[in-house]
Amino acid sequence: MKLLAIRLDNVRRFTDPVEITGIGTGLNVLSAPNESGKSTIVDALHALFFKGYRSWDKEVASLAPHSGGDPQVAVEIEINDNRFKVEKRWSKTRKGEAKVFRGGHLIKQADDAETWLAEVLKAPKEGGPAGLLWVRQGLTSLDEGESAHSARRDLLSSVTGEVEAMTGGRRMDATRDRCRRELDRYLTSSGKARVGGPLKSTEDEVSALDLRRDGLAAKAASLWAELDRRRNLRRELASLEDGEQDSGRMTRLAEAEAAHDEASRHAEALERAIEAERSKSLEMERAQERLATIEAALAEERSAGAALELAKADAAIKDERHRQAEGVFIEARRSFDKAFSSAETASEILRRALRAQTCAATAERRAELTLRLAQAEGLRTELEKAVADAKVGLTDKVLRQLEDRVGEVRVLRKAREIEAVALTMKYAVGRKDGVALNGKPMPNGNRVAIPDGATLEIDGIGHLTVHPGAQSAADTLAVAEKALADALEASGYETMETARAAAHLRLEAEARYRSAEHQLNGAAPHGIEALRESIARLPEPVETEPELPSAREAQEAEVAAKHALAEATSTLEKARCAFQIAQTAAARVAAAAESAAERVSRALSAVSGLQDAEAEKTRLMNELLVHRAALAEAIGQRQAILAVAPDLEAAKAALQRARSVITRAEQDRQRICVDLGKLDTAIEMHAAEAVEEELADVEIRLKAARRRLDEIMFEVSVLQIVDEALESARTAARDRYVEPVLRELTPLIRLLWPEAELRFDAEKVLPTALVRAGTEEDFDILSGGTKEQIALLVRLAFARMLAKAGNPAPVILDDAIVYTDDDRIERIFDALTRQAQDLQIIVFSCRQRAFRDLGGRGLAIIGQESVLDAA
Amino acid sequence: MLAGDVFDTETPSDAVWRHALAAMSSVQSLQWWILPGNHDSLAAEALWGRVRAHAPANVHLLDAPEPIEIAPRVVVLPAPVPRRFPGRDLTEWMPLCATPEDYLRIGLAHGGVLTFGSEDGGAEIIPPDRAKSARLDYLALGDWHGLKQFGDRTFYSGTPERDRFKHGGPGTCLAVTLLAPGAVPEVNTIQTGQFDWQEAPLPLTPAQDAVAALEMLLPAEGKARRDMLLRIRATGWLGLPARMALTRAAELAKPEFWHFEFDDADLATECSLEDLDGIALNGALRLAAEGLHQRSEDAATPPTDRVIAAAALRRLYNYVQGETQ
Repeated sequence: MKLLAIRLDNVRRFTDPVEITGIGTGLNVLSAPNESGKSTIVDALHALFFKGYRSWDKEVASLAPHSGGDPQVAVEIEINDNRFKVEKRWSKTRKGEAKVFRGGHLIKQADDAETWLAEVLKAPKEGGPAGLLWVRQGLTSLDEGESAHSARRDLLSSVTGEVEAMTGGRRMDATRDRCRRELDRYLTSSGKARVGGPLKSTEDEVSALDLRRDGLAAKAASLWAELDRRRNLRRELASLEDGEQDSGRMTRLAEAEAAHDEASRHAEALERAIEAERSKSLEMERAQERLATIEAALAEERSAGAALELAKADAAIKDERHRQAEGVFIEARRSFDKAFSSAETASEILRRALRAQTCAATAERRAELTLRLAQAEGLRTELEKAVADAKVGLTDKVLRQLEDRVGEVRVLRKAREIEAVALTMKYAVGRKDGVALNGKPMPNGNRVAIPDGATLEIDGIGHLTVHPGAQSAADTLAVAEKALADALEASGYETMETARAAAHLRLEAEARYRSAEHQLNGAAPHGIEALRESIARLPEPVETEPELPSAREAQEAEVAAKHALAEATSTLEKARCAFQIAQTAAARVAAAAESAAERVSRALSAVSGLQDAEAEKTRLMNELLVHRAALAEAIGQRQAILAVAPDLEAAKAALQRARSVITRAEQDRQRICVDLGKLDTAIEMHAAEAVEEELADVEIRLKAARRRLDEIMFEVSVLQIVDEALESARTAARDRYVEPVLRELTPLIRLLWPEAELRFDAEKVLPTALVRAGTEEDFDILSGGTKEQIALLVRLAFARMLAKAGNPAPVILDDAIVYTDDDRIERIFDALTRQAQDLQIIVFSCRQRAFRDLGGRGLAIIGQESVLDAA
Repeated sequence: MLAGDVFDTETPSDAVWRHALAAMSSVQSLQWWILPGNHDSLAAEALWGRVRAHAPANVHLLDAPEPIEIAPRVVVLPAPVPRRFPGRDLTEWMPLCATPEDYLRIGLAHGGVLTFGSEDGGAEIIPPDRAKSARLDYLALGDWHGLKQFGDRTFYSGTPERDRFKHGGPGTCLAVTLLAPGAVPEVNTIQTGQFDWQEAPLPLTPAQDAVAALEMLLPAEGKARRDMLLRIRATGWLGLPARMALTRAAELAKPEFWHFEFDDADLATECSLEDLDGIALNGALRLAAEGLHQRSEDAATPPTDRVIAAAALRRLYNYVQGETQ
């Protein structure tokens, strides 16, 4: 379908007819400011295509101008090179008109016209297109309601085939529903057995029956066990009560008793035989003993005599040896004593000799030490004197101070003399005196200084007193002299000379002290006391014996003496040992001889106690022979009895067993009777419960329930497989279904967002998300501009599909890109321009400047006059 | 003569044995000779004690392997089973048991025969020529639930009411007429059972009209169906629609029978391209159907999964067909 012209009459502000003509293939732009009626045209177009002529709903009513009257809209369209004019008029009275003209001829009107129009717009059964594609002002949502939805689906169907065929459609839905419904009977949505469903109840039944079966089987088993036990007990009881066995038991008892009696008898006989044998044996033993006694006494007598003889001989020999040993011992003792005393003497001599030697050695030493001591003591006295002297004299230091003062005084005095008034007396010739100074005559021609003034006695004339002037030196000198005098006084010496002498003495004393000390050190290096002690330590001198041998000789003599003593000691000890041994031996032999003598006397007395021992012996020997024969006989008898005697113990045991068998049989019988009574009761009760019948029944039912469960499980598996197959098939089909839309859309989308992709909901045939740089953004959260652009592009894609399917439909954009920025608008324009080569795109926009760049064919709303003109 | 297993358990409930005795007592014209079998061996002392105590005059328990003259010059040689698994041939004594020349000798025993074994698979075996070796005029055997004959004079009569498909037909007993010692007995089968157990094979090919083949197997409507326990074992191959039709027919017939089993475990489905078209020509349903078909025929899939896939395909077909019809 292609739109060629639009005509509005009595629509909103256009109370007079207006027209838009010259709409062509490609891009058509109606760019006019707001309030110029663009939206009115779009709404009118929409009403024409989608509102029935009888309609007077809100949308239609809004088309009527304020002044009232019926709004009327007409379009010229071209379908497959045929031109049609469609005209609609709506009335408040709902008596509008719809007319379709072809080539000026009315071909359809009223409902027929509506049907025709619907056919044009709606997809016919086999691949028909949706007639128009709208993009409304500020439209950002994609879903425009059911009709648009089905239009999209129809469009897709026309391209990719019947939608139902593709997705399975209603049949698919119904099939899946049925499968799900059936599955739901068995399973919950989480895949568990549904409570109350056949699967769960059969499972429960199986487990309940299983439990019941186990319980019954156990019961039946215990019943069988009871029956078995009763059977065994009955058999046992029967055999116990069997008369034959009973009498057998009694016979066996009688036999055992007889055997026991017999055995007892034999046992007694045996006892007697043993007794006889024992007495015989005793008699024989007694005879043997007597015989042995006699024989022993006789033998003892003989051997004691012999022993006595031997002992006596031995004693004689040992006595002799004893005596000899004693002699040797005494002799040895004597030599020892001698050797001992000579050794003692030699030792004493040696000691004395040594002492003499020592005394000689110390005498020299003592003399030397005593001399040194005398020297040392002298030196010490000297030393002490020197010390005392050294303490008296002036010390060097004081002397030097004194000397200094003396020097000073001398210098001062000299200076005074020099500077003082001096007198020189030049006696007249011939005269040698006459003038005395201070009592002394003035020398001739000598200058005499008088610092302190002087009184000159001039003979005869009087006293001439010279007064000293004020002399500076005089005071200083006086001071110095005073200091000197003080110093001298302090030192304790009157004059300098004495002081000097004292100082000299002191130095000398110190020299002496050093010398004495040195010498003393030589004489007594450790002090005089040490020296004295050394002397005291020396042994006291003793009287020397004139005949003493030298120490060396005395030593040799002592060694020899000691040697001799050692030998003597050894000899003595040997002798002592031999003596002692001999002594002991002699004593022992003597004792032996004594006891031998005793033994002889004992033997003799024993023999003498017997009357004719030999005769008795012979008699006893004969008697013994008799006893031996008797004993042999007794033994033979015992063995004979033993050989034929039955085993009493065995007989006893047999008897006991025979008795216990009978007792036991009786006890068993009683016990079995009791047990049987109990069992009878138990079995009676259990048997009446008919456990086995019930068990058989339960087993059959269990088997049936198991089979049913298997069948149900199979059924569930089948349903699950069907469901799974349907689900995956549908997913695959959907992907295939939306594929053509995406093919058209992708290049458009890429114009705005390179690398971007759209996700499509196959059911609604609408995009659900935009994928950019790997991130999926839900369509709802995209910006208004982006949504708007996508909405536009989606419609362009559909339009392309329509065009390709041979049914081009106009795309009407009513201020569709209000949110879009300039940059994107450029690209949208590119897209539009590109699409417009195959499509009819009609753009209504108030953005005159922006849309100026869009190009395309400009459209204009032409007023009534022009319309009339054109008409 | 009841050749053993009159009672199924050693401790039947009181109702069971009392009803049995009452039933026997009610037919006074008959003398009942009861032999203990392996299920109700002599070990069931309680049972036999009660039976002895309550037995009416025309009911006799044969509880000892001793000849008994049940009628003038008619001797029965019974071989009662002493316990459930006796482990030996209980008829051994029969050849050694002498009876006067002109007496009829009737053997009565319970257990398997050498050639085919016992119902319970026990080791104890009765030689099939026992009738000859013991000079018996007739040997009545019990244990086998069906009717079975060995030679002229050895018979298992079968149970009065069958209890499994193994032994088909209604329960029976035998009326045996012994004319004279040594003469071949005259044996007639008398139907006693109410229920008819039948198992029928149904071999099928895709070309066949499966429903017609099934209907051929079914008896005429009415009482015959009501008292019948029928198991159909379908084998071979069928196309999808035929299979569906067959299943429906079986479902339809089922309620008319006392018991009806349609076992199609061994019936394979041949799924043709047309059958798949029957589900859908194209689109998702077709995809699903092809997927299931492929899985059911894929040799790599485990057999159980293949069976499930095949069933799933049939189900899908069923759904879609149900939808279209």
